Amino acid sequence: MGDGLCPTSACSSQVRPELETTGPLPQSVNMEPQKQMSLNDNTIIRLVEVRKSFAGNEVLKGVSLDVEAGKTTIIVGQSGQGKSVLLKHILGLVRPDSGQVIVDGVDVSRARGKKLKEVRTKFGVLFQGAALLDSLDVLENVALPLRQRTKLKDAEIRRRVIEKLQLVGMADQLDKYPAQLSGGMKKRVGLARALQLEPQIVLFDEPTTGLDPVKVKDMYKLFFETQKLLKYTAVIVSHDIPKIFNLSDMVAVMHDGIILAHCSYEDIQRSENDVVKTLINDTMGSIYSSDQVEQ
Amino acid sequence: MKQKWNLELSVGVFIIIGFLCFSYVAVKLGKVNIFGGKEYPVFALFSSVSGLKEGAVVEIAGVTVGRVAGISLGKDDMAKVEMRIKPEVKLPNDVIVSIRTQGIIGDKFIKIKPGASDKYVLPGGTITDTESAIDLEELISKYIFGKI
Amino acid sequence: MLRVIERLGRETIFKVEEAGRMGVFLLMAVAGIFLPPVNISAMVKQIHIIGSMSLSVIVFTSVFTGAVLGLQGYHTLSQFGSVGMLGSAVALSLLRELGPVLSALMVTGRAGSAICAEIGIMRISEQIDALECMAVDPYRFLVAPKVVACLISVPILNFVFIVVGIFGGWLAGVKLLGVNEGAYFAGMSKSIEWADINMAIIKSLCFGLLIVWICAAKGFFVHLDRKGGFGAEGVSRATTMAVVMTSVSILVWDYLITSVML
Repeated sequence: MGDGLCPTSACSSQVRPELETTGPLPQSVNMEPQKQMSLNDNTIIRLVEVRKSFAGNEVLKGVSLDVEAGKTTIIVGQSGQGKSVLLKHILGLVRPDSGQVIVDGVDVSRARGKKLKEVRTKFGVLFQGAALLDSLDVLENVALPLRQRTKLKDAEIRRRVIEKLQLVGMADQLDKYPAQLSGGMKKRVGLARALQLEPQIVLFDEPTTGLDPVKVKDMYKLFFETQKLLKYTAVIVSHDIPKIFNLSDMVAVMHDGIILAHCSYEDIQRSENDVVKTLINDTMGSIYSSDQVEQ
Repeated sequence: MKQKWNLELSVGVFIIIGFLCFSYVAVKLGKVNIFGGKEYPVFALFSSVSGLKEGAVVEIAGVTVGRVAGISLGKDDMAKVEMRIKPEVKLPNDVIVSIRTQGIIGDKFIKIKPGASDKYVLPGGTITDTESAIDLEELISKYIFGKI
Repeated sequence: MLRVIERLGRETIFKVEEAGRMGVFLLMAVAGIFLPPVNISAMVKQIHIIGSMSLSVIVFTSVFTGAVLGLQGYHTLSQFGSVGMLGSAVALSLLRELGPVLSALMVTGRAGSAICAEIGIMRISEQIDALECMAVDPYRFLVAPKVVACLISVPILNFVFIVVGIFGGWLAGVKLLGVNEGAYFAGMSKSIEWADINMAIIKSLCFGLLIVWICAAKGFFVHLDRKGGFGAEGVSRATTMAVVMTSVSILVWDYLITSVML
């Protein structure tokens, strides 16, 4: 992992054997103390052996994952495999029972107060249900990060809010309340809010769940546009493997509390692992089968 | 904007109503003197003030002229009562102060029998010519056991 | 047998944990009031929701409470021929007990449940997580305005309750049953002392804090509920629990405060 801008094939060949078996993980824990200081390679988020259980039920069973800066990492897995919990660990909303979560050199799992707040300013998050505040209208929702964290004048805040809302095509709905918006519109507004402070990393929790196929496409289009414009690192949690990604994007397959495979978009399609295969067949397979039908 | 104004108006009205209710209870019922300080203090020494409470009325000829502001133990184990008398009422220095009861089981109050002197009690002065509370129980027991 | 002990232990640990959580919640919420930037407009809005909008309920309940006190008091006192004491009986019972307790119970039912449900829904729809991710302190942003609003509104509603209740007693006692009006009001002002008013203030402040504390915390921690605090069902259970717990603690605290202050 030392070479920073590793080609995807090199990355996958290194990561996969280590993670797929889950056996030799203790090694990586022993290596960690030196590694923690040297995040000079391209890794921006690093999870090390993260374990978490709720009421005796182990949800994360030792998750290790590196997210490279500037790239898109997609974490896939069926529902109830602990993906959202993993996301909350990255944000420091949930503390792990053991293991480390390092974001840009700061151990989020142990950070408190000011330091934690500082780390969180690096993030923009689009929640599953967009998590807009019901009591505020669209304008105020998107303005919230600015109001709370900067001392800008009202006019300036308004200008910036409209700028971001134009980006997601919602600038004409300023005075609507979240309850008056459809699911897709809420997600757009949620994205505008997440991008408001131009964060380094944007996390997407199930960005396409509950949207119809056309809206799903729109959502990803929006995602590509904004990423090109703002150049953020993206972490997408999803229950299926999206069909329209760059081949250099990374995919991490999560199953039963561990990362089964972590490799490039291209390599995942050739994976030998049964679970990964089923997942790909279930979510991406339809493309090929319909091709076959046409033939 | 109109909605916001309505909201603030309703909160304002709410707080004003609350303040009015509080001041009604405090001034009218709790006898808080908002113009305080005008009444002047006069002290009286009694051998017993049993049953007298702070806030009890001070009357002359049935007219309320002040209230009891404090009861404490003075010198020689006498009860020292602080009365606050309305400024327009001047007490001659030969008045007799007595503790009485309204009805048989009513509240204790202080009755001042007017004097004839042309010298007046000064604010902060002490009246020593007093009649203590009549202890009804004591009277009854005396009657029953025939000591009268 | 061992399983019983195990379960007992787990139960105890859970309860102690919950108590600790509630304590920390109160501290954070109160600290949130003083953290800048102070959000005055949110507080005004909450006073409107918790206070102004409870006014009609309070007025209705207090008129009838006062009237029934007048009625009951009249019939009891007339047996002793001391109907003149009616004013002080009505006023004292309103001021010392019924005003603070009943107004707090009404606010619990009307506003406390709403506080709990609102915060609970914000929790399960990840709005609280979103706030934290935007580095907005949810205690300061969400809970503190409600705490301030409750501490202002409940005492005000309490005094409205007392005054309107006295009026209700006057309606029943003086207008309906013909007690001397002068005796009604004179008896009242003679028997009430500053200590009684003091007690009413302290009680309603304590009850206000209890309401917002329990209701907000129950909603805030809805996701930690052992029976699965998810979805609408989790919120509804938390709301029911919050209202019941608040009502019971109001009565318990009422006894404690009375026994200390009398």
